[in-house]
Amino acid sequence: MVLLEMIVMGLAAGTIYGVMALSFVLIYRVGKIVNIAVGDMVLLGAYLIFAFSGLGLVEDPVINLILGLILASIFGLVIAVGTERFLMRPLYGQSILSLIMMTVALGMILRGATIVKWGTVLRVFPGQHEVFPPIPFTIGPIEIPYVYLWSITGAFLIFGSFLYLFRKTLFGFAMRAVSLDPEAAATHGISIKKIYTYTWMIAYVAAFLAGLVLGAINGITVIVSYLGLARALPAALIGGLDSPGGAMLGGLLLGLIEHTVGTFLNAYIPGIRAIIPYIVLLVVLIVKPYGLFGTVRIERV
Amino acid sequence: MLILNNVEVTFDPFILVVKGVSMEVPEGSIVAILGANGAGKSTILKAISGVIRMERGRVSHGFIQFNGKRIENLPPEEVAKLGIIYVHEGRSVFEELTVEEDLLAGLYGRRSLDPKDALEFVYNYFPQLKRKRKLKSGLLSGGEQQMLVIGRALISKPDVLLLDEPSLGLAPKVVTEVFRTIKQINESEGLTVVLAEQNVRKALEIAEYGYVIEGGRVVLHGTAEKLIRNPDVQNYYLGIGEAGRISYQDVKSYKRRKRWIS
Repeated sequence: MVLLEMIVMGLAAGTIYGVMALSFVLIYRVGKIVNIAVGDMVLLGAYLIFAFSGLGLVEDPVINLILGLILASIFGLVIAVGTERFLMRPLYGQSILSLIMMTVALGMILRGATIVKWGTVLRVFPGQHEVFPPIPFTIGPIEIPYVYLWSITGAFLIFGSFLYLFRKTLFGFAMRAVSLDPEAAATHGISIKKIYTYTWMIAYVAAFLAGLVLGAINGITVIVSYLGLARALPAALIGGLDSPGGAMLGGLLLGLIEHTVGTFLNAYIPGIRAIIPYIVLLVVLIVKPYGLFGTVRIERV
Repeated sequence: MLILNNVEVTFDPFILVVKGVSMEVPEGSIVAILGANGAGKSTILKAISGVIRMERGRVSHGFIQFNGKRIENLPPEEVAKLGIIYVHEGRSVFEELTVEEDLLAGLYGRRSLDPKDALEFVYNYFPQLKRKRKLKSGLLSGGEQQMLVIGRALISKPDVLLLDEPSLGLAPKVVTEVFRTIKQINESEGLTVVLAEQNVRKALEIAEYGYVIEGGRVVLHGTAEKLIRNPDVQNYYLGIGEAGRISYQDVKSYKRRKRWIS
């Protein structure tokens, strides 16, 4: 029963790793940018949700928090436009390295901005104890913390709507077309810059959702940003860097292993739980260099 | 009506590739741009479509006019929205999309069209694509990929199609098929086609008018019948002539150029 509970916990935690990996993978897939700032986007999201729900626009704490998430996401869209327009666009056509360095800079700026605005004191969401009660939620014999219910629902919503967008709509085809051959896409009236902007928007919203969950679990401090990067990166790599579906499965796998193998081993080797993701990553990359679901390029001669 | 007037194209920052080309493409016609490798055929098409902007090039002199509107140096997506679609040479399919998704990606610039009708419109001309519509486009044969990129250009019902070397790397039989379809579409839809080709014989079979480009300049132009009878075209591009084949060793390069200008 303990094992079953651990599996459920692992999968639940995995959903949020998957959402962060999705944010990372999207930017990589469409813009070929390795987004080191993903953790800081998560952190910014946590603080923005904290700030917006702190306004106390609605009585009910749950709706208040959801409203905070929505307002923060709208704010995130604006930041996404700014990120694309002023940080990334001047660098298109430059080397991959300068783009990566720019995301490092973006991360520093975002993290620095949160410290300037909110300081380094640990914060919690308004109404944290009502929204995420300390007593776990029970389904039959299994007990899981409330926050994971949020993570599962949120991940399901964002991932479902994204997959629909990506696979079934003209917008999704255009997005994939840009990721495969920007020049050819442009000749069909697809504006590359707009597609890049939309991609950043989705990435920000996904990261903000992760910010809500990680902020609720750990409290809102700068740690969230390190945690975000440290989980998003291996999940994305395990899934194969350019596959959104793989990102989610990578996240689930990571959460699962962390909460089962990691927890077991932690009794014998204290602290190993933190590096389990990287051991998994190592094994996966050795066996399948493209990751589990990464694209192996079709090459015709 | 697409008009190029004395167009010069420079690539980053001052490599002059196209040196003052003037052309007229009447509505509903097929115009061929002929020439050897590196003559500047592709660059002219890219200049019209705005793709040169993505390759750090620009139209530095002259102007390009489409239906009375100046379009030189517009970004490619704007040009596409005006109804001018450029088809890259070398079959730039979106490998990981299925054939159907690949075609629909071409519709993004004109979302007002109904996707189902648009697909049927393309399948009508390329029935082969319909049979393979669920297949990833990277797995199609070369000829099918060429049909796919042409179909993807057609799906948004453009006014002008800029075709860059559609015969590249295709078997002669497939080339004939592709060219026949282009002619067919031109006749039934009134589509204007600008065709850049090395395969002079095939191009002049379907084109009404041709421009011969050498070293970034128009050296000869005229109707297709006139060009195909021209002794120089026969010698240099078709490999035939009154005197039979001539040995290229005997032809001095300066002489060759002089002949073109005369």
